[in-house]
Amino acid sequence: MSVLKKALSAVVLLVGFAFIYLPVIVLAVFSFHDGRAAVPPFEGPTLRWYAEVLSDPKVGQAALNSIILGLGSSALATVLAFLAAYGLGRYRVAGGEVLKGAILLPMNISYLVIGIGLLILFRNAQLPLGLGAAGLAHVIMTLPLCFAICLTAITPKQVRLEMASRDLGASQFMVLRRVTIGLAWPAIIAAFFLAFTLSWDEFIMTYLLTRFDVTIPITIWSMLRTGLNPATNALGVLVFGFSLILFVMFEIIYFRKSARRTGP
Amino acid sequence: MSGSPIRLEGLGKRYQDLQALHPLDMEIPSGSYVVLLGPSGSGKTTLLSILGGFVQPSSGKVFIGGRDITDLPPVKRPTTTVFQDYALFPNMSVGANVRFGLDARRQPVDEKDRRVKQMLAMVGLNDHADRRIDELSGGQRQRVALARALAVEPELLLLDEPLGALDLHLRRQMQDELKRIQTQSGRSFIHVTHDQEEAMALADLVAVMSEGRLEDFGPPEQLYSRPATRFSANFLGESNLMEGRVSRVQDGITELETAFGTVRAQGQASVGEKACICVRPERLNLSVSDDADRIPFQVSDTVFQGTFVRVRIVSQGGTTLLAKVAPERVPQIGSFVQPTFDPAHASLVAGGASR
Repeated sequence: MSVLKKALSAVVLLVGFAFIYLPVIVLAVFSFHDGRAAVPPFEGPTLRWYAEVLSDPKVGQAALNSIILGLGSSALATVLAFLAAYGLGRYRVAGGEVLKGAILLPMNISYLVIGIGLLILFRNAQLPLGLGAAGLAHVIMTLPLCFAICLTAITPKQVRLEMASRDLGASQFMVLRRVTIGLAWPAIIAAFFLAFTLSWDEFIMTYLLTRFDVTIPITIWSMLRTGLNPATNALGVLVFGFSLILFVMFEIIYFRKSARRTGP
Repeated sequence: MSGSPIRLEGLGKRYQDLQALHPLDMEIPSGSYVVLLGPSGSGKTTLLSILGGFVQPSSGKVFIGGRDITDLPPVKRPTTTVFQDYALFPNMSVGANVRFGLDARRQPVDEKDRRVKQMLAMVGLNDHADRRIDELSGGQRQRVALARALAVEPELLLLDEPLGALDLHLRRQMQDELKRIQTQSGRSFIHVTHDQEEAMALADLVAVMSEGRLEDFGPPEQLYSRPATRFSANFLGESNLMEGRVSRVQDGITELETAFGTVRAQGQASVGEKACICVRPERLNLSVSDDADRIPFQVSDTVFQGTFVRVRIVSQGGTTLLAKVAPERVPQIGSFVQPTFDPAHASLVAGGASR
């Protein structure tokens, strides 16, 4: 009975994971497919699609745009989020809880709505569309998450440590650099990585707000329009791999550090 | 290396309706170990916070070495604090923690190195400079906090219940360490605690506080043998308080008529007024008597405590007194005893009538 139960739960678990990861695995497998269309039976393997994708100057330009967009928007979102978290976490502000809610709210607003809203705004204000506009949209998207992560790093303990450092004669700048940021940096770096991962994958707002500055997700989308092709799979695998690396770095920095902090 | 004298003038703190600290004056000679002793809510931590610059006083001034520091923020004060939770920087090594205050002062690197080494040696952590804070025990953290605060050579070191987080054994051990370090550094220490044993063991001067008032201030021997107030008499060890009316004052001896007879103590009071006499239990002698009609006290219970026996005696009127008696001289339970004491070992305390 209990063996059967165990076997059954193992099967359920396997099916669950298969459901989540099988598409990714199939995508990866067929990126090595030696044929025009990414359909079974599998032939190959070959690296020619990777070679094709990596030698395509349009893909290179898109990757560069994605990286510029990601770095810029993540840096801005992280700095703003940290300052907001520091202010609201460190001091008792009138209406502080309402402000926190207001900062976290965009997490629940559809990206499509934000994208269209910004598009209308930029059109009416006659501001140029492009990476700058998309960057702004990405800041709106990632700021709430960065804020939530930074807020976990501002604790009463930190407030006390700042008090102790001033007592020892530290200037405001020294307190900020060595104590405030010295203690919060894992959260700050983690927020940055998470923001970058989100920006790297974001399609809809970027699509609405850029004109000619094509990013990686838009490149994949336009490749799809001309039909399924193992080159798309190859690019997908590269994008996924890059996201995975960023995410693992986030996990290591954020969870390892906080585990150590709360440990004995 | 020596500190400066500290003077408090009319220092008080009021929070809206609450007088957290009634205005008080205090003179602290340089290089003294002062203990602020009192129960929670007595104002001792408020006083310490004012001295550290974390709380602004509502009235009065603080002078260190003749300089008025009342309005200086903590960063500019010649004081440092050892916080109750130590407030060590978990992101820095032990050495970096001790060096922190020196870094703020832009001294030459080798001077800082020398000082950090010297401080760590003083607290017995020479080979722990590269350890992480979370690898240290409670007692070691306490030492790091002490080394960090003393590294910048403050005129005055403030310690907020520094031994509160340690177990009893470690506590007694750290007491001796603290006293040694204070003597070695030559700085004044002001230490807050609610543990009267700790206060006795450490202090050159004890300030007993209650409900925001300074009840008593002086060397522990003086406070113990001649407490100024009822509160002080009860908080610093055990005492017998006897209330009565002053019947005679002569040659510095005051005579008091109480419910159980006449008692005498050193001190001045005016005839006819209500007063209270404090006698420590070890100063009370008991003589056994058969004359039950004249002797009002009867032994109610005895508790063996090793070097002495604690004897409780009760009068017919209900007054209870406590005596500490050598084990070989313990009276039988139920026997009648006459308590006596030398007036030189008894003192008049303020607040004759019950507060």
